[in-house]
Amino acid sequence: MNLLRSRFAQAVLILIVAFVVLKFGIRPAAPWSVLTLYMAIVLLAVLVFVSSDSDSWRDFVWPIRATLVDPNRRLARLVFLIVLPLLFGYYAYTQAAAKPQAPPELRAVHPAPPASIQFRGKEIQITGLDNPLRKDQASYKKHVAAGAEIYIRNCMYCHGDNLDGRGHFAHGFNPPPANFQDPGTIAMLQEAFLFWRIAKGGPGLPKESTPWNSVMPAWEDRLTEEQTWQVIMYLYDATGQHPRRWEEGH
Amino acid sequence: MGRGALIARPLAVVAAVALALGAAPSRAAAQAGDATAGKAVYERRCAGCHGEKGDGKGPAADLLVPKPRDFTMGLYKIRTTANKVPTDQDLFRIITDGMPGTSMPAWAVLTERERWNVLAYIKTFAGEKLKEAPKKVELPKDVPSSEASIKRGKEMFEAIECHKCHGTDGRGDGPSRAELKDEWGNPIAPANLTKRWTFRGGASRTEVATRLANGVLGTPMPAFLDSVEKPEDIWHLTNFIQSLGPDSPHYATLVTVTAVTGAIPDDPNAEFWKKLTPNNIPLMGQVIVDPRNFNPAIDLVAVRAAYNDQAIVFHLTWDDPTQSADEPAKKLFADAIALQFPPQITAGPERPYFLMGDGSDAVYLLRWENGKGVSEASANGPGKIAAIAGGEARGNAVFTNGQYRLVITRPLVSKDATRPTFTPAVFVPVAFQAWDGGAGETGTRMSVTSWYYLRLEEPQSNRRFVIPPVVAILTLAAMLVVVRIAKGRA
Repeated sequence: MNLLRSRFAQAVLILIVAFVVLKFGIRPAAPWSVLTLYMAIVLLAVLVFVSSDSDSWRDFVWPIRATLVDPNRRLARLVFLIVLPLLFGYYAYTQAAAKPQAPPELRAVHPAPPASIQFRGKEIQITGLDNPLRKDQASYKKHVAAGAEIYIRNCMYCHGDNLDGRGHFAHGFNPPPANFQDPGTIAMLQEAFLFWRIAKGGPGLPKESTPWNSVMPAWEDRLTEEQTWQVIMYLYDATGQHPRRWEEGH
Repeated sequence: MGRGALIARPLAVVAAVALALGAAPSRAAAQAGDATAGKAVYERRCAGCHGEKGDGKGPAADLLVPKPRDFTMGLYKIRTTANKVPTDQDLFRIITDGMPGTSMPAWAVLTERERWNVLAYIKTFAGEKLKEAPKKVELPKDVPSSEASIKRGKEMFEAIECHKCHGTDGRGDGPSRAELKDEWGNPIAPANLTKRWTFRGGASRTEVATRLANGVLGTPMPAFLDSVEKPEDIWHLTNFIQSLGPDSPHYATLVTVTAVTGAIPDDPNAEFWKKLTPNNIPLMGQVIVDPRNFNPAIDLVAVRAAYNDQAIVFHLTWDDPTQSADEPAKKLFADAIALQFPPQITAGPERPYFLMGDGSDAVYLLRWENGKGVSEASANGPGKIAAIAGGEARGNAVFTNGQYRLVITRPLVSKDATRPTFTPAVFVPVAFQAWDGGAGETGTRMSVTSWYYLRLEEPQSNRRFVIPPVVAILTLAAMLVVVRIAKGRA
C-alpha cells in the first residue's frame, strides 16, 4: 500500500477517522462548537506528528507542493482553484442568509439560598435547616399522602404527573419547569433550599437567576409551612431521590 | 476512556441500528395483566385524578377539563371497535401515549408489564359492563387525499351536519356547542378540527377515520359509518379534516417583524398578511394570582408583524368560539388580547416581571378589547392597569367562524418614557395575554406567556448577495498568490 506510506495520506486519514469518531461515536451528540475545538486539537497533533523530522515533513509537503507547481498536475490545480473559492463562497452565503435566532437566556440554575427568609412574616433560618416533619417517622406516610394531594392540585400543571417537568403548561414557559426525576435537581439540593424556592417562587430569585422570567408562583401565599414541607417530602418519596444533607459545621 | 472504547462505540451504534432494522419490534402484543399487581400502580399513579374507586373523582378532578374518566361506566372514548367494548390494545395505547389536549399524560415511564397490570385493574371497576367481546370496526378501503376527495368531504361535512358542532371552518364554534354535554352531564366542547395535535385519539388519517366511523363514546360525537352516503365518504371526510389545519403548531421562539417600504394594510383580511409566515405562540393558564385559570380557553395566538419608516403593525389571529362583549350579569366579558413590552428597551437582561410587571417595574401594554378597540396602557401588576394618556395606537378586528383577526398599528417611535421605541435588529422582549370573555375569562382569569423575543429585521439588505462572491474572489486571489510563490521557489 504505497498510498498509506505517504505522510500526507496518513494525515488526511487520521483527520477523517477522528471526525467520524467524534461526530458519530459520542452520544448524545456533541455540539458543533465542541466538535470544532476537538478537531482543532487533532489537527495540531497531526501537524506535530508530520513535522517530527525533516524527512517526514518533506514527505508531507511534497504532494501539496506538487499540486501547486508540477506541470503534470495542472488539471488538479485548476479543480482546486475553482472548487475551493466556491466552497468558501457558499459558506459565506449560508452565514449571511441565516435567520437570526432568539438570544440564549443565561441564568444561574441553583443560586445560593439566603441565610434566612421571612415566611408570612415569620423569620425562618434556611442555613442548616432540616425538614421538621421527618423527625416523626410514624406520620411519614400521612405527610407524603398530604403532599401528593397538594402536588396534584397545585404543581402538576407545570411539573407533570410524572414529576418530570412535563405538565400541561410546560411547553409554553421559558425557563421550563424543573424535572424532579433528573438527578441534577432535588437530589443535589437540601430540603431547606426547596423550602425557600417553593415559598418565594420566581419573584424571590436573585437577579442572576432572571426572576422576571420565572413563572413559579410564590407559594407562601397559598401553602402553610407544614404543607410546604409535606409537598417536599412527596417530591423525594415519589421520585425515590434523597435530599442532600448539610455539611458538618453548619 | 481508552482508544478501544472510542472506536468500539460507533461500531456498537452501527450494530444497534442494524439490529433495529432487522427486527423492528411490532406494537407490544396483548398480555394478560395481573389486576392485583396493577392495583398498587393504580393507587400510586392514577388515583390522584381517577379516584381510588375508579369513579373519576380523585383529588384533582374538580380542577380538570375534560374531567378524568370514570372507569365504573366502562365507556371509553377512543376505541377501534364497532361495539361499545374497546380492545385491550386500545386501552393500552391510551395508557402508553396519553390523550393530547387533556390531562392524561403518556405513561411510557411505566414498564410494559406495569401498564398491562394497571389495565387489568382498571377493567375490574366496570365489572360486567366490559364482558362483551370487542368487535373490530371495518374501515372502508382507504381513499388517498386529492382535491376532489377534499371537495366531496366538505359536502359530506355539511350533509351530515358536522358543522353544527364543529363549525363551518371546523374551529369548534358550531351553533350547538353551548348545549353539548357528555354522558356524565358535564359540558363538553366540540373538537377544534384545525388543531389536529389536540385530537384525543391521535391525528393520523386512520385514527381520524376510525373516530368518524365509530364515534367517540360518552360524548355527543356519533358513529357515522352508517349515516354517510357511501362508506368511502369516511375517507373523504378524513381528507377534508386533514386539510383544515397543519399537523403541528410549529411554535415560534422569536417573532420576526418584516421590513416593508410602502404602506401596511390595516385590513386584517388583506392578502398582504396571508403572505407573511405566522409566528405561533402557545398560551398557558394564569395560575399565580387569584382567581386562577387552570383551563385557559385560548391556547395559541398566531402573530404576524411588519414595519415601515413610520409604524409597526401587528396582525394577531386566534380562535374563540364566541364573540362576546361585556355583560357581567350573564357572566360574559369582553374578548381581549394584549401585547406586553418593557417600557424601555435596555441592553441588559433585566426586564419587568413577566406577569404585567410589579410594583417597582411597570410594563407597557398594547391592548385590544371587543367593543372598546385598541388602547395603550401601563401596568404595575395584573390588577393595576392604567391607560396612557394620548394613546396613538389604533386597530381593526374582524370575527369570522370562530376566529379573530386583529391589526394593531402604532408609531415606531415613542414620544415618552412609558412606551418603547422599536429599532431594527434589536431583540425586544414581548409577552402576550388573552381573554375569552365568552368562557368567563376576565381580569386574572386569562391565558399568558412568559417573555419571548421580537426582532425587527434589517431593511432588505443585499448582504447575502454581495458577501459570498467577494469571499470567493478573495479566496481565488490568495490561492493564485500561493501558487505563484511556490512556482517562484521551485
